[in-house]
Amino acid sequence: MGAWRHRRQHRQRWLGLLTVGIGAIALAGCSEPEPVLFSHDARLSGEEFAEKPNSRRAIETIVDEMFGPSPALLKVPEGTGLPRGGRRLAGLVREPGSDQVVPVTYRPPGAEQPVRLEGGQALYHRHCLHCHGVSGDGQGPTAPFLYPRPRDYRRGLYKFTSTDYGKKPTRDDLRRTISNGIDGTSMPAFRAQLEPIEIEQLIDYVIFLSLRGEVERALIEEASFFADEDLAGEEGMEELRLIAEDLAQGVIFPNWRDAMDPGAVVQPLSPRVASTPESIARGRDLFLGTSADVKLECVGCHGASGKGDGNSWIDPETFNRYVFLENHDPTDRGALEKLREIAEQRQRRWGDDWGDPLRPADLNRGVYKGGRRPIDLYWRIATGITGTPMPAHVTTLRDPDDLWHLVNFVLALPQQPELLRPDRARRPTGSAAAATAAAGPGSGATAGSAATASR
Amino acid sequence: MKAWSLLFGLTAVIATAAFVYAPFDEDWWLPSYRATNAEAMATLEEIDARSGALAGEVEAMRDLGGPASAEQLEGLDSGRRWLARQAVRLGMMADQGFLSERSRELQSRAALASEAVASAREALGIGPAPAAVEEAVGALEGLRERAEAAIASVSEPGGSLRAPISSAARQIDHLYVLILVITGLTFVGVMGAMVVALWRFGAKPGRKAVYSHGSLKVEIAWTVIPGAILVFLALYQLRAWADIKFKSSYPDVAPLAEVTARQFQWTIRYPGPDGQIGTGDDLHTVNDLHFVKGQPTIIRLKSDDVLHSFFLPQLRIKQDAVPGMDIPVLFDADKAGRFELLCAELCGWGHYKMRAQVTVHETQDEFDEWLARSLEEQDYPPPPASDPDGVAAAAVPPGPGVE
Ligand SMILES: [Cu+2]
Repeated sequence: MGAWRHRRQHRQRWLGLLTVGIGAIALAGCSEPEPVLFSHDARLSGEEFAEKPNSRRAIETIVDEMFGPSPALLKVPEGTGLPRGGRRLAGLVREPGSDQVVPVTYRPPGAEQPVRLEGGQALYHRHCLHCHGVSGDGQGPTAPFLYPRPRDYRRGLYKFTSTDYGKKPTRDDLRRTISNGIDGTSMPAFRAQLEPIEIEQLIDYVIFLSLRGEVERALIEEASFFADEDLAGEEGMEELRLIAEDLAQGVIFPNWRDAMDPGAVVQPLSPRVASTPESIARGRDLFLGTSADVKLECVGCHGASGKGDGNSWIDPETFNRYVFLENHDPTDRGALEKLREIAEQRQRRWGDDWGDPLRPADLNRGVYKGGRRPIDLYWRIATGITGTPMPAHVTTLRDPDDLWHLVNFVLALPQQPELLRPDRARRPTGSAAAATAAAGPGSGATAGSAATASR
Repeated sequence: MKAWSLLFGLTAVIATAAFVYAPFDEDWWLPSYRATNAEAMATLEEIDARSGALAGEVEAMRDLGGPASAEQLEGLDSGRRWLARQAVRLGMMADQGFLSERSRELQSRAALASEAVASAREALGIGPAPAAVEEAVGALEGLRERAEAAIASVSEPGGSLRAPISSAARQIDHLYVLILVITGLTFVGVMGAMVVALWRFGAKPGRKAVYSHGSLKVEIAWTVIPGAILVFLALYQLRAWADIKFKSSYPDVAPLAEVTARQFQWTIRYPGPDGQIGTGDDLHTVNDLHFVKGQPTIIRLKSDDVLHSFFLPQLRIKQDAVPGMDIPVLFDADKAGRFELLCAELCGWGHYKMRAQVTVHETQDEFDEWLARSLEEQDYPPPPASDPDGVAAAAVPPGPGVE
């Protein structure tokens, strides 16, 4: 009997311990997660500011005051031009002039009841953060594994715009990128996953992160005019705060508001030109620089065969070795540093303004990152691609129709590789293969491989 | 022993309950094809219900002695406003490609009904107006009938997940239920047999448990019977497999599109006016698959990077996309409306994003209209009118050569 009771007590003790253990795990699981904070520019934690703790603290404090220290506590400064003062960024907002925090709602056309909205911040965290990062620095957890690298919003530079080179994108441009994705990159299309209003919220949030990043970068530049000890006291802080306000309200916010103006969109200088053989041939001559009147430098980057292997860029073998093959640890930027060194030594290009590796487009593939509509290609050629060496051609070309000739050529090239490479003349099997495909699905595989080979 | 038999008995009871309940319940474990159309269905059902009620309300005012009361006029006003709202919703449905022809017709009918109700209200404010009432009732009834027809073309009566709405779904659901019945009965039978054995042959006060060295007869029985069942299933399902997967049994139709899976989206390429995939006039879409109701449809499935799986849950079609292979996939749908295309093979961090919208058009005309409109959008700005087809002949002389 004694032994039995002892065993029973023993078992009870174990049960008790087990309960406590499970409870502890459960409690730990339910505890508040670590707050997500906006990160600050890497330069602030680097060598540059190692000896200037006061400057660093001042910049971080002012940026946090202006935009909020974390996504959950974000603030939208006045004058950003965001619709409804940026109310759509957060799922909950404080009603103006009251302490009440209310959910953001929206009434779809035709509906009786308003629907609750999540807010751009929450949507961004679910769909975008893992590549683009909490503060939009393009350093999310999956970013190092991708090529091309995700966009860093903080410079406020965007590649695929309908505005002039270096100018901000319009909302339409951002909407197109989010809805259709970027062909040939890891940016997926979100049209099927998001409601139109949700895409608008995301656009707001992306612009918000750009504004924040641009103010931060500008402040880093401004702080270099201060002695570090000057920023220790409240007086220096107040001065820097005023500068920040001036920069934001006088330069950074107006740039974005300008892009909202319908006049910011570059309209074609001449109506579209039909894609005739003559037009394509003219486009090819312009591309190759063999036309008598205008000399363009397309071949220097895109190469004489249009494969993106021109002489101004580092050769593809070296590029691939350092970007894809030797870069076994994608989080280590050492291989990229080496690539940059080699490129500088040979005086060749290797990347974009963000310091990420990049190659000129292979025009034979029929992959158009900024969209495949003729107007998209027109914008790419006419206004260039912001942040890359692709220049605007609108001023270089005297005849505005030449832009359309180039568009027609670029659109035709994947179908007619013989335009640049006479040895690649398309075998006259195109129609025959398609005819067999139409005749029976059993022969579908042959038609498919012919189509693949010719692409 | 008591505990064990209780456990087995309970398992058998729960299994029976789940078996009876689960497959016959509405959509509780997968979104049904009805759910993917939820918003449009809600609109149609609302129109069906409320326009009938509104017609009754208007009808009641036919034989009024004098002008209608303020309350009655207010009812007509709110009805008119409601009709105008429905016209907006229907226009949006048409734009999204949901039964575009029917939606557009319904939209104009809703607008007409709204006008008819407005003029009836006008007339009734002054005095009895049987003619105006007649007209409003007629317009509302017409709207209701059309809404009902539209519902029927999208959904089975009470259409839940179980309602098979494609040829493959009928075969697969039949096999699913058959196998569920066989395995369910076997499971419950085995559990029951175990409870009986525990009670009949277990130790009891004054009796030892029965010990046995086995029985050849029983062993042969429990090997041969399941074996026979498995052989039966293996042979019985051949027909379904052959119909869905064998290329030799595919109907003789040209492929609708080329669907390429890539991390993390579906890129789809439809032949343009020349009817060939892979030429310059193709339509390129992302995450947007369109085909026509009631037509056997074949797509060519490819992958750009890793393994993906082309999964149309409501149509019970699943096919892996394998890099380097070009796999024809056959499917059809009996119902128009909107469905889902999902990736069913874990393909990387963005797997959850690989979701596309599938629109089944009711008629070929609807599909052609969508295709033409999309091609036009892709060819923006429109080419000059002098160019007859916007496609250049491949007659450019070869270039000056490669360096
Ligand atoms: Cu996938």
